[in-house]
Amino acid sequence: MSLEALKHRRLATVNAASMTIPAVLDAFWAAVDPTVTTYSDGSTRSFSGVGATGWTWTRVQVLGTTEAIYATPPGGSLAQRVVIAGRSLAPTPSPTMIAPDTFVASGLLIGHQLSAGAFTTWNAATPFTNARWSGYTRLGNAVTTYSSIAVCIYESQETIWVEMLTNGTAVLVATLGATYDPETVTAAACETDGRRYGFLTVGAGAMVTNSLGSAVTGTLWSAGGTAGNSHAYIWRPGSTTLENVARVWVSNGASTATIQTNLAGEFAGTPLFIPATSGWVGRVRECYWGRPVLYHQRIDTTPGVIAAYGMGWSTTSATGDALLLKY
Amino acid sequence: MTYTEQIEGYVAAYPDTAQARLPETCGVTTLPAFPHVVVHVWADDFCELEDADGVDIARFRLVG
Repeated sequence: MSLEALKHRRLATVNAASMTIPAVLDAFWAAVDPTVTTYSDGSTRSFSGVGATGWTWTRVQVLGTTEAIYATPPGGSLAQRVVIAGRSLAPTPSPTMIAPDTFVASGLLIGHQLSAGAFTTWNAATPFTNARWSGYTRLGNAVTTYSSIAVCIYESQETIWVEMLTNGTAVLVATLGATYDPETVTAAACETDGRRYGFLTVGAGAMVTNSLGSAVTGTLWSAGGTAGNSHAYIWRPGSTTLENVARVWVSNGASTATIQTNLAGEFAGTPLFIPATSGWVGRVRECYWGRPVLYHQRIDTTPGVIAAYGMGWSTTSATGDALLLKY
Repeated sequence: MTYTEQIEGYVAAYPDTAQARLPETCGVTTLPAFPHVVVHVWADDFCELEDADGVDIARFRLVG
């Protein structure tokens, strides 16, 4: 039996006030601050209760400068945490990175924790005390290299999507959380809560048109071998081991709206499935390969009735690969 | 990539590395491409690189 269906909600998009890493993190904070109680569509952001999608974010400042934000989900039994961090210079101790990524001054870092204990510091060897800390991987280049950054967060009950528009044209995304449904409850194939957890980033470069077919840079569910490449990791159940995804399918990047729409005019939402290097993982939860969309495009079945949020690679060209995050 | 390849790739990015602390579980005890780097194993899950003065210069996790 499948896990609870995820519903995605988009928070307001916030423009960073300047191209410094604290300013960009503060833009994220403005978007996710627990005082924000409505989503971009006007729906209520609930932080507890059945079906709640509001994650509780905490800002980490050192001498008044923001160095990280981290998020606690509204539910779940495995105490996951999501961290977005960065600093203009490497702190001491140097944050644990995931090979092959290296710390980049003023670059955004993302990391994931399972079985979290008390928070210590974002750059500690185990920021949440427990050893199931992923370390960090990169999202984008140093923020100082961009002329503008608009940040956006999508929340679901158990996952986070991070989206950035840089220089008004280039889209970078990452996602973290209980992304995979193994469609089994056999102990060795899933965590104790029946889920598989992981995270991915497009890496330093912007998402490309064939993000579900190309590899190495600007792509999704791809395991590049060099720092700054696209990376996608999945936790081995009950272990501190991270594994690379092993995507065994590719899109040809030639999707069109016609091909991805059925004869009744309904948009297709093709399920995605992902293995890791050690074996099958599961279905990507309520995130589909769908019709080409523009960056930030909302898919309404009828005007005002949201079906999904599109995750597109371009602000001007609705071509190639795109994801649909079910509302 | 093997654990050794991941570690050596990281050492290549930090040429001041003189010592490396590596997880016992990874099974790597020598770095053939960097014979001058002294390898120590420890019980932690992450790797740590130190310069000749024992100053930490990088920490990272292995994948796989």
